[in-house]
Amino acid sequence: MKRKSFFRTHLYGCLFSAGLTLLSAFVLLDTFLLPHAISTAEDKTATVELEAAAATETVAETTAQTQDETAAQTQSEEEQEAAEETPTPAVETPTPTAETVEPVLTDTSYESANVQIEITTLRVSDTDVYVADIQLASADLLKTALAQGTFGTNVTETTSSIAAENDAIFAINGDYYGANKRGYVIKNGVLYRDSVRQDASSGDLVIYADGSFGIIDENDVSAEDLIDSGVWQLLAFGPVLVENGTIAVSTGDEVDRSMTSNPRTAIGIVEPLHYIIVVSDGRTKQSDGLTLYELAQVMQQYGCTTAYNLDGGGSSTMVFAGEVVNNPTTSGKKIAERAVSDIVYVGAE
Amino acid sequence: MQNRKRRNPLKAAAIYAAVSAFCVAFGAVYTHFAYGNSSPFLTWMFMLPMLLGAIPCALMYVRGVRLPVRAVRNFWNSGVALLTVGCLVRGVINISGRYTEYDTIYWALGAAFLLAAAVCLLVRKARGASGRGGDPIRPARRARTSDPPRI
Repeated sequence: MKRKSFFRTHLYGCLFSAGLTLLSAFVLLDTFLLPHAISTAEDKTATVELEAAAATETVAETTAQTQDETAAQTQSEEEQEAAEETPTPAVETPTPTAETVEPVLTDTSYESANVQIEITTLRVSDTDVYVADIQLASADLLKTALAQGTFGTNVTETTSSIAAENDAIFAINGDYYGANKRGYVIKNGVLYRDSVRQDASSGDLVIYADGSFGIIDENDVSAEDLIDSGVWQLLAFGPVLVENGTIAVSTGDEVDRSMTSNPRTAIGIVEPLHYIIVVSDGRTKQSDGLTLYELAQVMQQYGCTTAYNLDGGGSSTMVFAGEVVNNPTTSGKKIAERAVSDIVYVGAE
Repeated sequence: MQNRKRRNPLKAAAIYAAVSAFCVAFGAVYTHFAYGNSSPFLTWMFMLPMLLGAIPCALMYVRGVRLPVRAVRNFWNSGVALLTVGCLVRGVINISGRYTEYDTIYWALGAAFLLAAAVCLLVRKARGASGRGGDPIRPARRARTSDPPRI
């Protein structure tokens, strides 16, 4: 009797295995690799303009005043030069006001009329921790930006690249909204997505147009209501580290059962327009990383009344004046930025 | 003879047990290199081939029952494979910090194949009870080659 070939004998098994492999490959590729660009940031216009518009007017008035004073100073200087040969009564030149002072940039600080940034490096739990103390004149100076200026899943770019494209003086990685297809996304007053995410119970951080922070649960409020209430930015990662000045995580809480120390990124508020941003190294011989509780302790130590955990691990990146401040790494073997889907930044003036 | 080997539940139980062991090892190794992240789908996916394959086949062997015919086996194995791979894919995605809705495809297809196996088995049993195909589980009776002696 003629024996059947292996393929003919196991035809069903071979076909089924091939189909299952293709299905799994597609699912994994679509989840991790295939970019899905949905819209560009330019296609959208901000719908939250209340406080931001008011702040803009203030800055515009200041700018106009500065220009008038500069023009007057220039004119007086020209008149003085033209009348050099002729003795003329001394002209009193106006002294530069605060608005005319150029921003002062050092390796660890930036100071201008509307923005003050001070970066400090600490050593906590065998980990290098970078703390940015930020004070702003208006909430619209704390912005977010999308990778490649495009909203979508798996659309990524390094934090430093996004920061450079947006003329950021200071930037950190955001909430990596692009890793998932669900969850509220509000960036610079624009609503990009209003589907509730699967782990909504960990809470979202909202930044209102007046610069204040809030914690919301996507199951309790719609994205449209958030826009109507003046939410300027929404960051969805979590968990909440500090709430009402009290540490909100226990020593056993971790993000998605992450039980070890890791590179971390967190943002907190001391008072409206006064923010603390922390990025820690980790997964290296130099730095072990922080647990969420240790991260919360740092935020509380700096006076944060509300603090929120952002995407960590290889995503944790702090950029200041075009330079990466920390040592971002995914595996601990190579120091390199991970491409992320969005950043939080302070624009340069 | 070849058909009897394929319907030997002991061999099937051994294969399912090996798959369960592989699931345990894969989950442990993947979790170890995931910087402490874990997923219950990866942790417990070994239970599917064990509960739906190794243990039933072992019980059938102990009771002296042969495996069902090829169609039923194919459907059942496919269902278990889909559910197990679904757990693996879901676990890998969750460990990375992401979420997916594609896993519903695995659950739906896996349940459909298991249901198909059950239906196929019942249909064949019904045919066997009505004398139109023989019992798919029990060995078929040998046909008589001669008339019984007259008394």
